Amino acid sequence: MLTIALIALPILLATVIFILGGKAAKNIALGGSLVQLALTIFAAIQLHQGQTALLNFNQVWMGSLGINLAFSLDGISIVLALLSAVVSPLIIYSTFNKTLKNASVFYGLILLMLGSMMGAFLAADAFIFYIFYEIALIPIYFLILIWGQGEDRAKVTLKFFVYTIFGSLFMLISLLYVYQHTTPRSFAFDAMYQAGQALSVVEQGLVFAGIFIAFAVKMPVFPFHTWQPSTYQAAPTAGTMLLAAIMLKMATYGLIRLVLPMVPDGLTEYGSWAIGLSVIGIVYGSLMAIAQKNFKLLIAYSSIAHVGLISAGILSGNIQGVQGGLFEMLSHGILAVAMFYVYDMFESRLGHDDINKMGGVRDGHATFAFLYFALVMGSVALPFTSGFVGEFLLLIGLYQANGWYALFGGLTVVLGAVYMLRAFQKMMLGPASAVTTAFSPMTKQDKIILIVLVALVAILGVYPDPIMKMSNTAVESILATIR
Amino acid sequence: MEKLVSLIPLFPLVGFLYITFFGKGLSKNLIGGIGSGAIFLSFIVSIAVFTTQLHGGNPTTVKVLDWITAGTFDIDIAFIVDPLSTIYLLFITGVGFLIHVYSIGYMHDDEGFNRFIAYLNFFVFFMLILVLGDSYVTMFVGWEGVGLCSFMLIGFWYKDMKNNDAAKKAFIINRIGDLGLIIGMCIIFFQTGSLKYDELYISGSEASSLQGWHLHAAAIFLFIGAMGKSAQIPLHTWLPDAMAGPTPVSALIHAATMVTAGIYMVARSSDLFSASDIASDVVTYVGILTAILGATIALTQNDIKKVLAYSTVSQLGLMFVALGLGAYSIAVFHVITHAFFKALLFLGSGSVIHGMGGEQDIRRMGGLKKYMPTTHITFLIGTIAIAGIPPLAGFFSKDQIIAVAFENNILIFVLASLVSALTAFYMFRLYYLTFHGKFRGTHDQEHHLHESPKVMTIPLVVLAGLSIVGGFIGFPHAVGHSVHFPHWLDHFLEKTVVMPFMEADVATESILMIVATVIALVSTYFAYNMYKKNEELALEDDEIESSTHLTLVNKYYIDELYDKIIRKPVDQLSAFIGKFIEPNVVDGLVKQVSAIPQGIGAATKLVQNGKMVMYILAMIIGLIVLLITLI
Amino acid sequence: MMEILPNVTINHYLMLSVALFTIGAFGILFRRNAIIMFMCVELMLNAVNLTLVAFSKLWGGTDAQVFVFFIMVVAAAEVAVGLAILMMLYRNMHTTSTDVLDKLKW
Repeated sequence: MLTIALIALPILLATVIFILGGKAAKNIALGGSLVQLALTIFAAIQLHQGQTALLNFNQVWMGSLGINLAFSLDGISIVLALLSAVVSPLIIYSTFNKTLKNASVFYGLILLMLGSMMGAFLAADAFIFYIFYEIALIPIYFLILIWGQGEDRAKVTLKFFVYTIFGSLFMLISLLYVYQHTTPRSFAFDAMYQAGQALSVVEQGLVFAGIFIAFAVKMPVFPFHTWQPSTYQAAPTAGTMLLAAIMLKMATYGLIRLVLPMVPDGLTEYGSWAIGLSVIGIVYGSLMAIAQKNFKLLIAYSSIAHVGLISAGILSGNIQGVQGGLFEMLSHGILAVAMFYVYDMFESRLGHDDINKMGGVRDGHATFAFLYFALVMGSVALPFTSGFVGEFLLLIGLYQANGWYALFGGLTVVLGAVYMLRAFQKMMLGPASAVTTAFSPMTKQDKIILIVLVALVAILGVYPDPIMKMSNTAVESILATIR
Repeated sequence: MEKLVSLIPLFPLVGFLYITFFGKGLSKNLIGGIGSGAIFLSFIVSIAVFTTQLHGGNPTTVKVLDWITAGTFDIDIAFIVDPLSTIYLLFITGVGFLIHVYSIGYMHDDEGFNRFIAYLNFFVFFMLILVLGDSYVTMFVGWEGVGLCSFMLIGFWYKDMKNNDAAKKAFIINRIGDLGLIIGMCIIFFQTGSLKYDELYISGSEASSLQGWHLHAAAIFLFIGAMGKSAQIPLHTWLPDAMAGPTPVSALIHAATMVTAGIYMVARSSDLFSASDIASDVVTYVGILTAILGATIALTQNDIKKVLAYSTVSQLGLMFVALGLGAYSIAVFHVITHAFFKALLFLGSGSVIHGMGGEQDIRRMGGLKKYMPTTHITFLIGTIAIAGIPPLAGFFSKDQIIAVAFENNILIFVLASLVSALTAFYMFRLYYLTFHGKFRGTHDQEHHLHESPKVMTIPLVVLAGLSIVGGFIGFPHAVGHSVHFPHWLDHFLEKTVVMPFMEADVATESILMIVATVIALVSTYFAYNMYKKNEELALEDDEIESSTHLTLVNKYYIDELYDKIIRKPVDQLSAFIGKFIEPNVVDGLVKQVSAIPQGIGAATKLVQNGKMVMYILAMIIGLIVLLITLI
Repeated sequence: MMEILPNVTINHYLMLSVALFTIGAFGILFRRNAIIMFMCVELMLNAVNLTLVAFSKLWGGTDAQVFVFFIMVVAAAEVAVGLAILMMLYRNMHTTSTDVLDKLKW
């Protein structure tokens, strides 16, 4: 029941907001997301205590097709559920200083999106997963189209929408193919795992290819990423946060849920191209980030690099890689929200995000400089920040797949420092200038959001163990299904 | 007693947090007191912990927190108490405390005083984590942490972009090394399933599971990490630039503690390195090359801090020579003595810079001994110590490195002796140009000249004392036995560090000591001849004719080379990818794919021409065709 | 019906139906006036209705007659909507000729 509540709550609230409208919308959205957070924490505690009664839900939906409304919350889902529950109040709160037209629709769509993403994370049935995976596209499409920036955003959103839908079709084909081999016909994960593992190696390789292409577009992995930077740029900041922090995690989560246990042999035999692309993406994204002068694009490309590492680590299929991937998802989600918030602070104060035209902000903004610097350190994966735990485990995992992957993928350690420090230096350091005065002091909202995020980055970096222990057993059991 | 060890890093951490969050409005003296007090408390506890080890306590680990769990990969935040870590603790907190006290005076007029003390505390915290960590991963926390603090402190005066560039350079080059260290850890974990020292080394059996190329690769990759942190060729270029930071930083981080982390790590992995002859050779040759490079460049530099920086590079090289030859305990010995005299020299130079009102060019100095008597005397002691003139600290440690080289590899011995001679020369050049002759600066500077306050000179005096007596902890065997003063440090460290190196016998060692002393003295005499009497030599710089000299002044053009072969290509590559590959190739492909349905659509849309009749006709024809085919 | 007109067989009904349907189809094809086209559609629908009723009588079932009612209802609804659309079209375009009304294309 709890799982259903986690999905239904935001969707119901969204409906309420759509109907009621008015000024209260943002407060309802914020309150709702806080309740959601409380529920998720409650669920985490339940899981921690081993009481799973409330966490599993199974109801026949289309019985003749073997489709059940099945949701369950295990050690893997909880990480993602926590991520979206923690991040969503912050995302909603981050828009409070903006005047939006049709604000109630805006917040309704955000809640709708959260609900559907939660659904994808909690689904225990491939069909349900697919549905929620796709539904999430609809709200974000409108969020970008209506509240986005830039003249050509209609074109950009169309590209984004069509590209992702197109990619998803490959996954649908793969899923249907595996479904054809289940007896009795069922989309339940366990049945799909069995059927998938029974397939021949070549079949598994093809099924893997289909699923990976879908996820590769969503994450995005090189060379399927070209929709991403322009979409991030066109989207309103809250939309970008949703995309980067939570939405792409559906794909990396899917890698753990659908690829590893379903087509393990296909992955080991024919999966190296996918790891290779991911590793290329790490270096490629980093180099692109170095070349950017717009801060938002810089973060967008750095996101490609990080996600490439997550993907490569998970696909290497060992527990360090998967655990690292999971934790890095959490960390990346938090840092993405934080970085885009920092972007928004600059954009709304200066009217542009060209880092070459900034500088000297640190002078007189010591607290902001401290917080921003902490975030930079988080995204270059310094120990005792959340970024380190994930990235280090990912590299350890990746090395076990192939030493060269780890060496190339590890370049992110160096290149990440290059672009992040360059950006920080150009934006913050140097003598005081006109930018310094144009940059008005942090508001209360800025402080709350950044301090919460920095605290999360630090706490997760110093004491990640509760979360790691929670996911450890679940990941072990997933990996145990592979032979 | 060992449980107390977790307090050691806690004090500086609390100091950092307190000053950062509650330091606003407190007086500078109070802030300084909190900062140095925290380190002093750590020092007291360190002594206590050290004593347990001294009295034969067994190495133990103290667990603080579960940290990372991923299957068999299980790392805690836990501290190791053994001879190697405790001896590091002692000099980190000891020297650290002195430098904190000194900073109170040095930074007193700086608007960022609070920030400075906080950063220093934070640095000490990470440095302590580095040496206390019970696994490579925990060590890596400190390793990266000190890199972070180094970054923040080099760029402390952030309004000047040159400082920021130097800070960034230091961080990024260190990161290259860190990548090597990460890969090294990956190899070790993959092969042995553990990254904890006690499982890897002390129990003994696990280390042997690293074999063949894995062993060599692991050791070499770890060493790449050490190269970054300890400024060895080819990753040495950041250290001289790092002198952009305030002088106490140079003393604490870039001379005494952080840069010796690489030596600590290699000594910690002595089982691994002693098993891999290839890696040991690499360490030796990189070390000696660095030592020569640093020493030769130091000959021509005119910035007082740059000279000391290159001297540090060179001394670190010598330490690696010792490590490569298997003399791990001797390398640690040199780390300790070096910490004393190099910290002293840097603080002395800081005192000079303070007195000169920020001037760092030795061509503008001269004759300072009559203005700054304490600084002069202590600086002289430091100079003698580093030059290797007995009986000061540097002599014993350096001499033993040379002795080990003599026993193992004659080529290294010759080169190391050369470095030793060069060291004495450039140090006395520096000394004479700074403190002797007549003052060459402006009149204003001369008027401003003054001895530094007590809070700065007392640390100098203490460090000078340590530079004098510090060498006796590692009194050579040969002489030691006859005077009933055994090589204490070797015995102390033998629990943690392997000692495979060949010992010279008493006669050889005695002769070598004499030779080393003679070399140092001769070299000093040359410097005296050239610079004490003829101080004009220092001034002829702008029109250097000799190309060798020019190469040295320009540091072998290595920075320019890196700029050409690494930085520019990376920038150009990313610009090329951004301008060409991304829009044309990658996105071009996407556009090609999307062009297919677009083309089909463009061709077929003409059918829908809006004429209803056409649609109906098509419908009817379709119906007829359908009927005919069905029948 | 069959009792009243004993000579009229199913074939006659079908022939009439075909005739009506063809007239309707050709009407739609060759006339341009939307209202007349609309009437032709009704004609075709009724042709189908006729067939349904005829067969219903022949086989003695009632299913087909139910269909016919549905078709009639739908046709009535169509007329209501369709004529309304045509009214609007005429008001705005001053014509109901399908040659002119060809804006809905690519």
